[in-house]
Amino acid sequence: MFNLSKVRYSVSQAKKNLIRNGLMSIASLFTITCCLLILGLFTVISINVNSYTEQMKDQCEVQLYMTNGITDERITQIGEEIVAVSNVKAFELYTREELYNYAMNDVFKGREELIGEYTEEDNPFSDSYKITLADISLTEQTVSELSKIADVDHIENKQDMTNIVLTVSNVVKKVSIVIMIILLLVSMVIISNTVRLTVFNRRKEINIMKYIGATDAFIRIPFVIEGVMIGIIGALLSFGMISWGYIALSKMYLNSGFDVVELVSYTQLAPFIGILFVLFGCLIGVIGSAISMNKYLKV
Amino acid sequence: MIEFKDVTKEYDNGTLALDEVNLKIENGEFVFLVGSSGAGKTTVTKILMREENVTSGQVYLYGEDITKISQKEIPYLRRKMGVVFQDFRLLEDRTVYENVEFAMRIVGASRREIRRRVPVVLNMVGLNYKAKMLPKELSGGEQQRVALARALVNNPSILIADEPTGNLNPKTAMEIMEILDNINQMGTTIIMATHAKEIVDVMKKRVVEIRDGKVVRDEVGGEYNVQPV
Repeated sequence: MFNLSKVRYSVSQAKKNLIRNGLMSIASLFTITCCLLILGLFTVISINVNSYTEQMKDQCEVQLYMTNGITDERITQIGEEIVAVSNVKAFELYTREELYNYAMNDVFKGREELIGEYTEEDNPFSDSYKITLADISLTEQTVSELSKIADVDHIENKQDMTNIVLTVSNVVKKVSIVIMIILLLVSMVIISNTVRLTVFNRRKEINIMKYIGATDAFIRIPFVIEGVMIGIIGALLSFGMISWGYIALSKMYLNSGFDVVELVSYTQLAPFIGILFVLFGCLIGVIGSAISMNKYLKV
Repeated sequence: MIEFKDVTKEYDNGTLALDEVNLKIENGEFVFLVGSSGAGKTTVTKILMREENVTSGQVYLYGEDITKISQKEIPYLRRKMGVVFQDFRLLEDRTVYENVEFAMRIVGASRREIRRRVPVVLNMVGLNYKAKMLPKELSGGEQQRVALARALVNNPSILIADEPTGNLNPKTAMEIMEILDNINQMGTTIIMATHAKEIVDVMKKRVVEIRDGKVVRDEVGGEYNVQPV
C-alpha cells in the first residue's frame, strides 16, 4: 500500500532528484519546451487556417432562380419545399422587384441608360432564393434535389470556390493530424531517451532499492513525478512563449493594414493551448519516465 | 526455518550452479557458506532473495515455498532479510543517515519511527558520530558498517552477507565480524558467503561447503578448509 509517508517521500525525492540531476533535468526541460513550442506553433497556425476555412464555408451559397410569371403563393410554396430539402441551413428570398429597385436605385443610379429599356413591368430579373448549406461537401447532391422542385428555372452554385475551400480545409486537417502524430512520436522518443539516460545514471540506486525490498511502484513513482514536474514546467514555459509571441504578432498584423483575414483571438486560443500543453507535457513526462525504467526494475 | 529441498539451479547458459542441494538452517544460526569461486555460494543467496529462481526443488522460508511466490511478492520477501554486499552498495550522494533512513522509507515507516530507530542502529555499528558524512568520506570498513546498519534497520530475522569482508583489511574485517556476531547473539540468523579462511577458522561457526553445486561438507564449529580446485 502507498501510505502518506511514502507519498511525501516520493514527492520530496522527485524534487531532490530534479536538483541533483540538474543538467539532465535541464536537458529534459529544454527538449519538452522545444517540442511543445513546435507543437504550439503548429496548433496556432492550424487553428487559424481552420477558422478561416470555416468563415469561407459560411460564404458558400447556392442561388435558386425561379421561372418568371409564377404566383406569390407558389414562390412561398417553393420556399417551403426548399426547407424540406436536407442540408439546407438557411434561405432568403430575393424578389425580382427588389432586385430591379436595387439595380435602379443603388447600382445604376445616375446611369439608368445602362440598364436599357427595361421597366419595372419588363423586369429582366428573376425571383430567387439565396440558400446557405449546412455541409458544403454535399453541394452537388443538394443542388440536384433542389432542381427537382417544380418552377425552378436554374440553380447557380459556386462549385469552384466550394471545391477550393473544401480542398484547403481537408489538406489542413490531414496535415495537422500527420504533424501532430509525428511531433508526438518525436517528443516521446527524445524524452524517453533523455529519461533513459537519467535512469541509466541512477541504475545503481534503483538496484539497491530493489535489494532492500522496494516495490516497483515505490521506485517508479519519484521518477514519474519528476517527469510530470519537468513536463508541467516545460508546458508553462512554452505556453508563456507562445502567448507572448501570438499577442505580439497579432498586434503587428492588425497594425500592418493587410489584416484581410480575421485571426482567432488570444482569449479563445489560450485555454485550448494551455490545456493541450499541460496534458501533453504530463503525458510525455509520465510515459517517457515509465517506459524507460522497465529494464532496470528487473532485478 | 530455511530449508532447501533438492534444489537444482541451471543458468540459461547451461552452467549447473546447484545440483540437488539439501540444506536446513534453524532460527538464530550463524552459517558460513564456503567454497571456491563459482562453486554456487552466491547462487544460494540469490535464490534466498529470489533474485534467481530454482530450476527444480523447493526453498521454504518459515514454511512458505518462496520459489512459488509471484514477482509482486518479492519485495515483501526481501524485507524479511537484510543484505550486505562485498562492494557495500551505498548511495554515494546521500549521507550515512540518509542511506540507513532510505531502507525504512521503503517499508513506509513514519518519520517518528525513523528518527527513533536510525540513531539506535548507527550506534550499534559505531557510526553515530558520522551520520552526516557522505560514503566517500568514510573508510571501507566504515562504509560496510553503514551497509550493515541499513540491512539491520528494519529488524530483519535473516541477514545475508555476500563476501562482506572481501574488500576490507584483516583488522577491519574482524571488526565487521564482531558486529555480525553481536547481531547473531540478538537472534538474527546470519548466512555469510565467504572466502576468508582466517575469519571462518576464528569464528567457529557452522560451515557449509559447496563444491560444483553440491553440499560436500556441513560441520558445526568447522574450519574453512576448502581445497583449491
